[in-house]
Amino acid sequence: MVRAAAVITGTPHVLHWGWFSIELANLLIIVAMLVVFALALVVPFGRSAPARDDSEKRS
Amino acid sequence: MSGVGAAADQETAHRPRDSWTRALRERIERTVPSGQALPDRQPEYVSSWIYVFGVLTIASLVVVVATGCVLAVGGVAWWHVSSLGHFFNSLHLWSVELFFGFMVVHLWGKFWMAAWRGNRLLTWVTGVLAFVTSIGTAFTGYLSQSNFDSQWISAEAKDGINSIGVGAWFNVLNPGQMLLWHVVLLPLAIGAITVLHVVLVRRHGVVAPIDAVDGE
Repeated sequence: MVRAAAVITGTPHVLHWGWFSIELANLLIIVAMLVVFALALVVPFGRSAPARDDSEKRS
Repeated sequence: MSGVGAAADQETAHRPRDSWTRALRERIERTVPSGQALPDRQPEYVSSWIYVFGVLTIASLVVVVATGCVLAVGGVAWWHVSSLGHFFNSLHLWSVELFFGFMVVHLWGKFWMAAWRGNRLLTWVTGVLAFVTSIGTAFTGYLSQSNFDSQWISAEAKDGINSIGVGAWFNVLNPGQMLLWHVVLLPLAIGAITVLHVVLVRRHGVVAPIDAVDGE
């Protein structure tokens, strides 16, 4: 964990793919956000008794 | 009917139709359907974590504003000389990080479900405005750190601002102007846009999934 923190907070590690370059810390943040987004889509919310209202009729 | 209610009805009956207070009251009453301002029932498809991120964004904004108010009490250089000030500065920074993270996940979710459907274009547009205004607020925050970092950022930013022709009115090399934009004008704008965005969400309701049949 400490080494991982050092990677993020120390000298920037920049990754290069041709014309594209990105700092490792920024890439890890983007990947983490994509993981959170995917989890938000697939993880059950935990409410077993669904309720309805007339939201669609108001549009 | 109570005496107070009867008196109110009598007063309303005598109030002229062109009364601005009456017109404003009726406009407010029409803005959000009855019972939808703070609903306790939602469609089945709202039972998803993806809908939580909008509320998390607002919760983060509350923490951002609250910690910003504490920093304003101590002053712009307080966090350099006080451990308590440094603590609140860190709370301010990380609540901003979470604010943007939650808002971007909320944005992704709404984009892929085409949340502008069903007469909800203005809801989408106010969300975009909130996002863009938040970026501007964060940038002026970088310029208000009162350290070498903010000096370097402002020196780099001036060329970009000048290239779009607004450097005479929005001078990133003027820390006083940037600080006032950061703590007064832009937070007020974000607050107003956020209120409008939430009112529009409650007015039109949460958009149904693309493949939903009859709103199920």
